[in-house]
Amino acid sequence: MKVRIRFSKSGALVYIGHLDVMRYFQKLFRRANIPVAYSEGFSPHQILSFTPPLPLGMESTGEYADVELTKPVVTKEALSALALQSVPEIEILSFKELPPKCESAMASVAAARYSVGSNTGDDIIKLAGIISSFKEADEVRIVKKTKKNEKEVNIRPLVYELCYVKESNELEMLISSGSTDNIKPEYVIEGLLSIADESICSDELIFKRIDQYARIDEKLVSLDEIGCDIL
Amino acid sequence: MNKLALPNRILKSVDKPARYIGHEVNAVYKDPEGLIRFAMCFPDLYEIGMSHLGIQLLYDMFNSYDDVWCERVYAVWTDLYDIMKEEEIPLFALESQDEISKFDFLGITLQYEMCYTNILQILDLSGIPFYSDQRDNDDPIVICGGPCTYNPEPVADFFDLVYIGEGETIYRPLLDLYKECKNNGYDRKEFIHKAACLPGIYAPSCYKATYNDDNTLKQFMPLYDDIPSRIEKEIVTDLSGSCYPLKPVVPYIKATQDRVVLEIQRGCIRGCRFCQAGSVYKPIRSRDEKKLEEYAKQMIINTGHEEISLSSLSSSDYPELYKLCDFLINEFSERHINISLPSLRVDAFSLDVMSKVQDIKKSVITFAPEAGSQRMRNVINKGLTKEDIMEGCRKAFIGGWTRVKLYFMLGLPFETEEDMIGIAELSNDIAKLYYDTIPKEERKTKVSIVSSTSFFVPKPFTPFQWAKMNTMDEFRYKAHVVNTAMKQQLNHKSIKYNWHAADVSVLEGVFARGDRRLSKVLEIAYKKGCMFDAWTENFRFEPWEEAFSEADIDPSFYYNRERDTDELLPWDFIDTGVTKEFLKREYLNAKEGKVTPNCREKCSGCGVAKYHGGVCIESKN
Repeated sequence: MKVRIRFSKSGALVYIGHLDVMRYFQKLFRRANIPVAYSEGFSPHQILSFTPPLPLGMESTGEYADVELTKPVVTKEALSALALQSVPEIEILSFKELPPKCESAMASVAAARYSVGSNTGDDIIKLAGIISSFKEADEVRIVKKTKKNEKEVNIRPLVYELCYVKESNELEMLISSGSTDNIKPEYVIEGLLSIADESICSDELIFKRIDQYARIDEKLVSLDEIGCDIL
Repeated sequence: MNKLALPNRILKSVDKPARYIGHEVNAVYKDPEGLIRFAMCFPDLYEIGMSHLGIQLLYDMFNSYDDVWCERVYAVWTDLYDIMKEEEIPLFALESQDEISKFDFLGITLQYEMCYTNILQILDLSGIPFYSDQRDNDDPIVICGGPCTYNPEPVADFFDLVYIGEGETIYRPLLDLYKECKNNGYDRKEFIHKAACLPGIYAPSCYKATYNDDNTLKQFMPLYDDIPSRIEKEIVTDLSGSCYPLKPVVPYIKATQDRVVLEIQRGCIRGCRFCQAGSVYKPIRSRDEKKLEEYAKQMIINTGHEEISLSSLSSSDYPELYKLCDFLINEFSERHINISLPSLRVDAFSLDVMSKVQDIKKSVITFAPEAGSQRMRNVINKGLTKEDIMEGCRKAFIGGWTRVKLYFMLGLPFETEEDMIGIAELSNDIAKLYYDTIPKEERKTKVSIVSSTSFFVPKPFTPFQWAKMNTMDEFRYKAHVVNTAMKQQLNHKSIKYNWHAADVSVLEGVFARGDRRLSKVLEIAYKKGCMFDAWTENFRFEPWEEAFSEADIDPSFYYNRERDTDELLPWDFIDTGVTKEFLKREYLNAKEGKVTPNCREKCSGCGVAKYHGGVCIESKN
């Protein structure tokens, strides 16, 4: 059976890279005695896959791992065993059985929600003031830089939600993610600044990934809502 | 608990920031109030240091004390080093992220000579003066331990205390003494002097060295009447009864040893004449097999590691190896936990075990003949004959193995050109053996022989401690002789030959048998930017040459000179149990190519029987 795990990453552990998080989970499952299935062959490995890498230094409450089990474990028991064995900075938030033939977390990611805060606070208010013009624009072009080349893209249609949250003094955005039309939250900030011809010290912004979504029947659904608890 | 010493901006800009954040599984956190703070340091990169069993052992032991919090610290890589120097950020411990300078103790393990400049990196970044006599009451007590302390003299001036021998025994009394001194108007000098009265503790500042006109050591004397003139190594006589780290820290990034390590025994029966470890860890002592089974089970549960490895100088000499391997295979194979068995003699048993735990296609058969000719192997007392090697290889080839690795040394005492060429000939004979043993139609691939030579560095407390080490040119010439001979072999296409860099070996040779005057060279080299000298990509020889010349020290005095067996050696004040008479006898035996039996065959009276432990009392129980 396939199980989906949602987990958070915070504190010092934001500096642990993607491959190391994978290794961490392999060891965590052994410590917590979760019956993970192994691949065949001479060097068997746990059947385990993750959502796209979180950038180094970024916190998240919406990371996912899909894992194949050899036998079912009751969600409540799995969660307490994992909590006992995990470090506090990686918290296992859910443990759900996936429906048969469900697309993997990695492949199904279509969007991600981020918050953007700042220690100085002024930057966020400045950015919040530009949101309405951003939404009214038909096109917001930014230069997407990769290791190999630079490409101009229109990010406007890839930003599904963008708002200012007064209580926390943060921006919140829901943007396209995954293998096609992947954009980074930094691009949105760049887009906002380009519209107003403003500048801020982007080093001081604090990005956080809140959740990741799949597109099911034209709707964005949290990856967490696809499975069911094992009772 | 989520305090970090380095800001986000820096952590995001350096390579592998996970080296500097702590918070690993099984890392120990305590409320520091009222505790003795001990910073345990491996002066190399995190990935190397985290793989070291000794540190895990002491970390576990210290933290089992209610009145101590032991934390870890490693050398920082050059990218972060530059930033910390530039921004004047002090070095910190991983757990609390507190500055090292606030600690009571800074303990540094010395595992190899080429980490000596990193000691200065640690002290420099911590803001602790380099030299013991420049420190005051607020500075931590800087102490070292580990194999290099069997000649601590080249770094002696940097340390307040040197722990000689195995770490399990004297730290408790040392900490108690520290507490007592702290409660009675602490004076650093007074504490150091009192510590020097404890067994196994050497306080360099309490001893004075004087030199003859020819630069040899004239006298080495204690400055006080109440401290010993010779310091005896500390040893755990009952290894099975001593502690073991059942909850080792599990790193996030891949450490060099990313596995559970079971120390099955300490010491060695073999008496190879080039080997320092085999001499200073005598006598061999085994851990109880039943206890090891229990440790293995618990450590796998506590870490989640997917591999378990045995650790010892020669696993094949562990009396209950068969039983232990059997247990490990039965207990773990089904659970997808790999078993790795290094330092095994290649024979029917080990091949059988290896075929059960490894993919034969991927695994490599390893031999360390150390010398190419039987004559030379007798000189170094390597109890491995050509027949052993050929028979092991023959069985391995029949079993399906096709890859063989061979380790040799060049520059051994009494070496002739024939011995060098013997390396190529032995490599060729093994390749030929494959083609003779496996019929053409059954060969799936070519045989692959990889032969490597390192350059021999004479070490203290070995029969070769008086020997002259080769110069760089001699080393290069010898590697050239071997390389040429390799190319002339019939099966040279199946053989690959590698050799080590000669310049690093020469430096190692200087510091291995150096004296107190070398600390100046280390200081100058560090100030010229030498660090991580054990890393090929980082090593530069020119600044070292300048450092020797600026300190007005001729390195060849230390490495390229045969000592008279009556010369007072810088490390003679240490008593490892092995007597000088025995070492002299062995030096003569080497000259004559005479083999000395191993400890289980016959006692050769080396002197360590005085510890009444391990193999020395085996037959008497």
